[in-house]
Amino acid sequence: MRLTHLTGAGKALALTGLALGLGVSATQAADYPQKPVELVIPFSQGGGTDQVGRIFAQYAEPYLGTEIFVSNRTGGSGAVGFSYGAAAKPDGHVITMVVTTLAAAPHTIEQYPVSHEDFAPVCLLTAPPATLAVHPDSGIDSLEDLIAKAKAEPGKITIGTAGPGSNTHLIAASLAEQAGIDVRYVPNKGSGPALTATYGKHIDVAVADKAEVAPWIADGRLKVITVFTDDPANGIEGVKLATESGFNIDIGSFRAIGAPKGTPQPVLDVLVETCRKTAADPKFVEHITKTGTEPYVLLGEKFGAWLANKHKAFGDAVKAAGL
Amino acid sequence: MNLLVDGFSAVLEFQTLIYLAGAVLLGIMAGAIPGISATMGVALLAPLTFTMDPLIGILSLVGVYCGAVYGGSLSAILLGIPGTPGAVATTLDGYAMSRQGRPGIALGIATLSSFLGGSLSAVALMLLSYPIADFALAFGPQEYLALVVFAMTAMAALSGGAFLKGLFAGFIGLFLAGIGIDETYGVSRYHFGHLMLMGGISFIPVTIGLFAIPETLLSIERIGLAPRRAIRVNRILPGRRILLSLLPAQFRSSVIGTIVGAVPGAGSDVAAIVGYSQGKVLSRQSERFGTGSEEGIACAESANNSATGGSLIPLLTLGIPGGAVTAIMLGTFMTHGLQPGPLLLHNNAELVYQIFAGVFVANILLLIFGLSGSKLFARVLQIPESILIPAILLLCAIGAYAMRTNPVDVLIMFIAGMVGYVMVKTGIPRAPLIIGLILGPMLEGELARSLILIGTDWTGLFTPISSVIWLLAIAPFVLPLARRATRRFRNHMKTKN
Repeated sequence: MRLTHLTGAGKALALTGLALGLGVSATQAADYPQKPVELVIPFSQGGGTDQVGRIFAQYAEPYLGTEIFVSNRTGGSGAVGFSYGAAAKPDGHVITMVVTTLAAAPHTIEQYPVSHEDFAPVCLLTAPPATLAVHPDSGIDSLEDLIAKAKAEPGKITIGTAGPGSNTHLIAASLAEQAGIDVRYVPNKGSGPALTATYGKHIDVAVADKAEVAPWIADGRLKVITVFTDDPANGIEGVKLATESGFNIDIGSFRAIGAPKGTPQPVLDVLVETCRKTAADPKFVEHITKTGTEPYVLLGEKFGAWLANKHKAFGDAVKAAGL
Repeated sequence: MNLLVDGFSAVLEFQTLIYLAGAVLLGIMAGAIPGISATMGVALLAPLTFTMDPLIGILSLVGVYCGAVYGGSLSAILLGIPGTPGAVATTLDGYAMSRQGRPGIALGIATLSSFLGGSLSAVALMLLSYPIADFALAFGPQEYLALVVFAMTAMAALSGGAFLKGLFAGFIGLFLAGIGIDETYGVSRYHFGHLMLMGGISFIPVTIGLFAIPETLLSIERIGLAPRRAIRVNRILPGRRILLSLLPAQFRSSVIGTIVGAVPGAGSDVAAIVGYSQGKVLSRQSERFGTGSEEGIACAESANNSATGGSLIPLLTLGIPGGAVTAIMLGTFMTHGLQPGPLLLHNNAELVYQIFAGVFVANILLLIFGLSGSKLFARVLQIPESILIPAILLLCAIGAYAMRTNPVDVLIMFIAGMVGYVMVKTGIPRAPLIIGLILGPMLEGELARSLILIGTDWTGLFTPISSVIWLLAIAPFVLPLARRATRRFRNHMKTKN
């Protein structure tokens, strides 16, 4: 039940009810959204988070019943955007793209000012597992090959990551720790440049998620040697999973929606319902899939529990890797 | 060849042409507004193209891209405010010409040079894509490091004679670039507990403030002192002699711009800086650079527009987006079920040639709009200052805010403006500060990556390609000394005999 769909009399009644303090959950829900909703994207235009966010905004608008405008509030490894989104008035008119960095950076960047606890969970949209990619001419055919090579020449293998505080760095460090190998980490401005450097043979391996690596393996420019997931459905055909090689590293990337902590339940319900309908929209699914990753949707509290787990997994990985 | 002819005929179809023309116009407007960059224009348009026919959708983005890079020169020339980061070098000579009462000629040269640069890069895209792409792929951290240092020597060229002052400004820029979370180890620097400083200082608000605020303040100082000279724009094209004399510089800058554009990570801003400084080093009238030199505008504008075609080379041939604009284009290709890269030419040769043709046509449209619109654009100078100055200030505040939707950026813009005013009054050139701020993070990142890759053996910094770039980088400093030394030697020999 949305305010815009009520007749004038109904509106008056609803507002009167609210004014009298009789605002039970139904009227509160009817109260939202009252104006266009801002979707905060803490990273810049053209990146992976931006892409998913804009696609979501486009398909979710009709279900939310109001305009969703995207704002890229960037800087400080996401700190600027996340902080803005967390500190916004908790009435559902500012929602935020909650992504991997929010789970990783609090552990890896000193004085990172915001964490998942500052957000009320709305929904998870995608969670592509991380992969390791190499050049087809590299002579590395499997994770076992890579580890053998790294053991033969300690400190020689270079692994490109998406920068400090990113989960790609943590994944590389966890792998090195679990396999007992000595490698060099090369930070890049995102996974894209790391993949390009691998293709140009400037580094040996790139850590990138399945969505980012998809276009590179589609035409054989790069080769994936492992996927960090235990779910074969989430893997890549013909590629051995990391768990099959004996490595359990579950700190893949994700892209989700969060509202400020303290957002009233009825408003959250509207947002979650919007997510549910959007995620079920075949056009949305098709569009997201074309960007290289299937939607992976969890709603509300279920997502909240998943996110808390992720946060803990990142913390454990940081400790284990001794960062 | 047939494919190319078919490509042109597809682009020249009425509907495609209308979309492309609209996109170029939109791009010019976006570029002319300080703070609205090519990236933002393309990002805003991209979602609308998802539902279009793939060719029209992609060409719309190409049109906005080319238009915006050109549009940046309009505000640079007329108002002294670079509309996009690529127009910083254009500001120096373009605005000087404007102040001398020759805004029309400056606009005309900028338009012609943009057209030449853009179309030459389109030709390179059609004929030399593969060799250029292979060359660009050979760029690793060591090569980037050399390229960034090469671009930094432009600080000298952009200092307009006051070299030490320029160096001073450049180092302030480098220092400002160090604020925020560093990209190598994630250490927060110089933020004093402020979140907004943690996010680093963006060069967009600094550029706007540094150039726009002093110009408005100086105009206010002039009000009432002398009656404002009515500027009439009669001519937009200089004589044939001047036009012909500009050709070598335009050609050189186009080649530089195409290659710099093709190298992933460097865009039209770096291209313009390198093009301008090389132009100055090689020019016979290098002392005129910065004081209203036609050649200066020609160098900067052909370089930044040729970077547009250049940046499409690795995108179409290798599937590598070199910057934010091409990253958005890559996303658009993929939403249409197309995979840029080696297979695109194989599977969708028609589309690729249509895009080649589209880039060329976009530049012709740019020429048409630019030449026919120049007189109209220049009329902005006839607006009374009481209206123009507040309007500029408002646009600048919006521009500073728009990129990161961060109110602190507006504050930074005004602070930069006050600093800029002091710099103007004390004769410290402003462009080197911007160069330091833009190139600082690249310099640091590439140096860190190079050192991680080569370990303790510093000779690893000098690969074949990077050695050549290092030599080019030190040439402007060594050549004059060498020349002086040989002259002295000759004189010495003469007196001996």
